[in-house]
Amino acid sequence: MAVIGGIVAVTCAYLYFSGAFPLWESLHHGFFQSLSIVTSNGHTTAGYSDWPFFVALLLLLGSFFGGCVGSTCGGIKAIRFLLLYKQSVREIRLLIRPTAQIAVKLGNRPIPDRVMQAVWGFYYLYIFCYCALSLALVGTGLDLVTAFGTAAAGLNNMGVGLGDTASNFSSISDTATVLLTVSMIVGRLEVFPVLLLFHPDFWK
Amino acid sequence: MNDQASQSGVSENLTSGEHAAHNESAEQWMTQLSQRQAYRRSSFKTWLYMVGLLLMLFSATLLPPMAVAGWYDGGEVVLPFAEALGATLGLGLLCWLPVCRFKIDLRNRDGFILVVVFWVLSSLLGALPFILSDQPEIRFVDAVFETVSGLTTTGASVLSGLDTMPRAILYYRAQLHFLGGIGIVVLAVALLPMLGIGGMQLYRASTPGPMKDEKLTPRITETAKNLWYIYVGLNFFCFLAYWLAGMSPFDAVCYSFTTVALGGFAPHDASIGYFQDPVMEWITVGFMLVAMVNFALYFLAWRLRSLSAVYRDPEFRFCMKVVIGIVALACLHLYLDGALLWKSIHLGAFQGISIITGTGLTTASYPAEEHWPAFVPLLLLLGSFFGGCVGSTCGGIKAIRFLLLYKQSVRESRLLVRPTAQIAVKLGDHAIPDRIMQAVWGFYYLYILCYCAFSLALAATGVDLVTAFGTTAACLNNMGVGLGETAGGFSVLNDRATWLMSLAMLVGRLEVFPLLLLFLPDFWK
Repeated sequence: MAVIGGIVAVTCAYLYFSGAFPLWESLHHGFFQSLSIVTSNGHTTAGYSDWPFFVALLLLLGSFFGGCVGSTCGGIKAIRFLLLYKQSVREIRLLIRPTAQIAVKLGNRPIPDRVMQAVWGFYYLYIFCYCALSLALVGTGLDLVTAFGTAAAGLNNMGVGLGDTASNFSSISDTATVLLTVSMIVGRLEVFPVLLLFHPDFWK
Repeated sequence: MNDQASQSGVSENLTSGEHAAHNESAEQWMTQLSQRQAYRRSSFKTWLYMVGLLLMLFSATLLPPMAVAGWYDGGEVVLPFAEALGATLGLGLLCWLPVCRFKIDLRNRDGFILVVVFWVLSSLLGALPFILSDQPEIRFVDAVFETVSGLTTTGASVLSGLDTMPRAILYYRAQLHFLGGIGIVVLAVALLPMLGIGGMQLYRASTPGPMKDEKLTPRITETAKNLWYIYVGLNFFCFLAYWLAGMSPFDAVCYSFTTVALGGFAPHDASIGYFQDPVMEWITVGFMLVAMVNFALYFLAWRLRSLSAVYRDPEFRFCMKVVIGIVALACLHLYLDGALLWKSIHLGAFQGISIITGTGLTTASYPAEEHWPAFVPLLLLLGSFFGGCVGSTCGGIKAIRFLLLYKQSVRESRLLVRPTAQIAVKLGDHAIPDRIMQAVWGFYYLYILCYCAFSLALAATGVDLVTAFGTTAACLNNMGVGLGETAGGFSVLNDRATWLMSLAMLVGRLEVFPLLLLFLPDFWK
């Protein structure tokens, strides 16, 4: 909630100060659009893609955040970011006092190392998938903005692209459509199950 | 030069300082409070001493450009360099003189502060010659950007019209790369492992030299000296190669500085494309490949009198595989896009390696749309995150970290199949401790976070998305070739964006953590 509140507030403020909308309008649009994108809902209002670049980019990155685990939102999910954040703070602390014993805690419970490793693995593979997908989309002939936006829209199950795909996805080629279909499934199943099927150990 | 000499100069003081510290350790009965005060005062003196010394040495590096100015350009160009030298030397003396009899004692914490302070100070003072010169006419912001870009071996430039600029300025830019390069190698091989940034503890055991956890200096001195020889040697061979290939001695010096440091400042607007000479470009490819390998490995190979130390290093093998993979993909795409076979191999290899290693020398007007299909710049942009081996002058996240992340991910998916299996992440024959893996993950997360944050902030200054992504990658990865509006040069950015990108270059070069640390209240307790 803190993160989502932050993103929504920045969106509203930026819309207001960049002069795109008057105060009330920017609050209204900011709220609606950022919540819609961040939670990977994908409803749009007021020609979202014509908004300032900053907002589009902010919300695009926000869509990686998603929402809580166990809800229907997409992206990497809040709990993972929370854990990653806590781990990073711990790293910095350890740099100052290399011998300190600091546990990553959630509420009152320390998180086992095993869980942290799984979270890291997921984060790495997710970012990797995103880069690979964007690259593949550019390979099919899309321009850079469209590729980044569309890959995020597919992988995070968000559904609103940028550039050519801002209004809908019919403008992209067949190869790209197949790629995106796969990416939506990869994103929804949280990467690992799909990768596992390609792992020889799995079939032994 | 400054790093090596200064470290050795301080080392004598340090060893005697160590003994003194040991004798005093009997008197540990002081109250906590007074102890802390004493520490604070003495560490402040330590900073003054070190910064003063480093600044004085930095001022000495302004002598060669003065000589170049006297030789090629005449008196009016010598003056700005002389003024800058005076100012830097003066400031250095001002810091150093009051504490010159003080016996200094470096600790981990001082290491962080010194790294940041010195890098920032030398960026500001190194900008003086640019500001003081009549030509180029350049504002403070841009001068700082140019200097940071030089010292971090990024090679992003706000200057244009290089072909008519005084030779001394051109030489000075190349020399900034040279100094930055050796600074970075020493930083990466000797200092960061000691401080334990982003899993670099891994290299504590593998670098030669005496080992002591808390005291930094003796090892740094030893390592720095050897690295200095290797670095200068590489520069010399690179100079010879360029010279024999037909460059004038002046160009050969500038290009060898920029190639071995994996920098990117060139004395021509068209970069190395100015010569239109494939032989020179292949020489560049060769030296870039040599320079992206961990310099400590060369030292090891030299001592063992065989190159097997280099071949057998797992990071080196992984790094070469990935680089060859990316380059092959780029070549293939160029070929399929309609270029001739030989030309696509030539351009793909040159531009691929130049961007991945974060050099940023360009040819055939890269990344202009009409010659390069959009796929290649994006591929190389992502490649620039990869960088090269730790302990070289390249930028990005570095090969070793990707290797560890990759192994960890493979392990994760194995564990999903057999949840109770005991699988260790191994590098060569050694299992990697969990502690190091965590540090690597932390680094990766923060790096990506920084990238997103800088892109966002840049987009907020009003540039479009492609430019924001490309420029941030160019600066954070110390690569130096932007996309979109900054493809031709960075002078299109407004002041806020220029400051932001100067900061990004420093963050990328100092590996994120040292700068973040300074903002943490715990650090100052």
